[in-house]
Amino acid sequence: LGNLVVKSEEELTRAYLLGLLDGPDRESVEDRLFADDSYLDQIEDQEDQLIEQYLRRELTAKERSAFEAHFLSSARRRRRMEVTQALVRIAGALNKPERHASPSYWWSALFHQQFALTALAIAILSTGLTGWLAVRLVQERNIAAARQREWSIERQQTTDKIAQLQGAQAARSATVFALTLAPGLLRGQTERVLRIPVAAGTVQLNLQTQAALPGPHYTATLHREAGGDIWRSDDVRREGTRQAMVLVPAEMLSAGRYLLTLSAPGKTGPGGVIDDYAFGVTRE
Amino acid sequence: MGFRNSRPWNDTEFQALLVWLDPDPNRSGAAYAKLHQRLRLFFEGWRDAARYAEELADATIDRSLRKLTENPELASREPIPYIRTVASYILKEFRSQPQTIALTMDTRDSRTESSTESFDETRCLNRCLGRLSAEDYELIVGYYAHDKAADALKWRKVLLPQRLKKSYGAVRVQVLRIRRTLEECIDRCLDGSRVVTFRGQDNRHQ
Repeated sequence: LGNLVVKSEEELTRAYLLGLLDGPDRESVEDRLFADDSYLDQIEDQEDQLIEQYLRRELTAKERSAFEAHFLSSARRRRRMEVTQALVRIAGALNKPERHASPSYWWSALFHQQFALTALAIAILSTGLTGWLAVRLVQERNIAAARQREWSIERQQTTDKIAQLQGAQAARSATVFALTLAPGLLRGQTERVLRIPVAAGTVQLNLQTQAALPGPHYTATLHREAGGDIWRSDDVRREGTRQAMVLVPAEMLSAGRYLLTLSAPGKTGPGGVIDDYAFGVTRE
Repeated sequence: MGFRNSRPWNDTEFQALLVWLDPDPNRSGAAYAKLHQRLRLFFEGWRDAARYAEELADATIDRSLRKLTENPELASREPIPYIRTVASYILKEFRSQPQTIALTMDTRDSRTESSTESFDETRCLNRCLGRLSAEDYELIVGYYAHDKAADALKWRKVLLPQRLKKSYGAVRVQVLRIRRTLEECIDRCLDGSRVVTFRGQDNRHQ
């Protein structure tokens, strides 16, 4: 019994989704998968939780590795992760202190006001209608209806504005300008000057590296020559044994000289640096 | 050997499968959806098959239907255990020569993941989020408005339903529906999207 490890149902499901189960444990999960409808919902919840823990870097190293090697080999799960990633980002932005300006707060306030008016009307009706009360009720209803119309218009305008902004952003973002950079800090003859069209929405930098890249993700930090970090991405992806790719918003690259540093994931200090890329930018 | 060569089903054959899964016509569609979900999860449980889980699930249903057409007496047996056995055979065949079979399959999942496509996905995601109704947008974003993944269950099962004055089950079903709508919208968007890419306009400074 020395090696006997009793796993909870949740642990078994989680290990199954990460491809870490074998033998009788795997069979027991598969048995339940084919026999119990409610288990399908539980699996879906576990998938969500794993995805979120991965995105929030809350998985152990072993789980993370299994998640990338096994869980993400399914296209459906990759798509789900991308959708979740975007939603977590948006939710995170709305959770910031200025939430009173957010649509959530606006919607919540709207909901509570509507609820209060309805409750008032019900309260009036339930106490019996005398003449003046009936008149008052009609007035309240008219006011409520007018407010609802205003809110409806305001809400539609907000939705239209968001759609308009997203449409404009999407159209602009659709223009990708791709470039390849070799590592190096030398100025003068070997420095590259990137001529970036004004219409470019995003600059795709393919970063060649001196050494082979072992992992799938890296960090890039962009500095101006004058000093100071101006932009950072933790979503730099390995594109080949000695090449990584980063997408930089074109508005970050006005005319001037820049230094981009490629680092191990999340390690922007000197110990984590993989390569540096010096380059100049002109906009045409 | 491949899994794509079976003939298309006709309505009568497919109807026979639905009846086999559940004789009640009001429930047989849901039973079919659950069967497909089970099979997909089963194949996703195997690392080498996970990438083709959708196709292998389709192949399993296809073969089960073929067996049912050839042998109508099968309808007297419990469908799920039988179809599970078929799935095991399909997996065995796939694993015996995965590369050959993989090449013959519909590889809609195996799009080359270039950086441009990844960027396309972001664009499509933004577009599809923009198409949600205000209520759906608020709900799906609100579903993720907790700080840590560990807090998610409490937020989703207790706090959010309280705030929305709905049951957890109702919130969950709505969120799943919205997310599926989003995923389908993104798939359609990606199928029709084109990204303009300029190359070779960089020069060495002389």
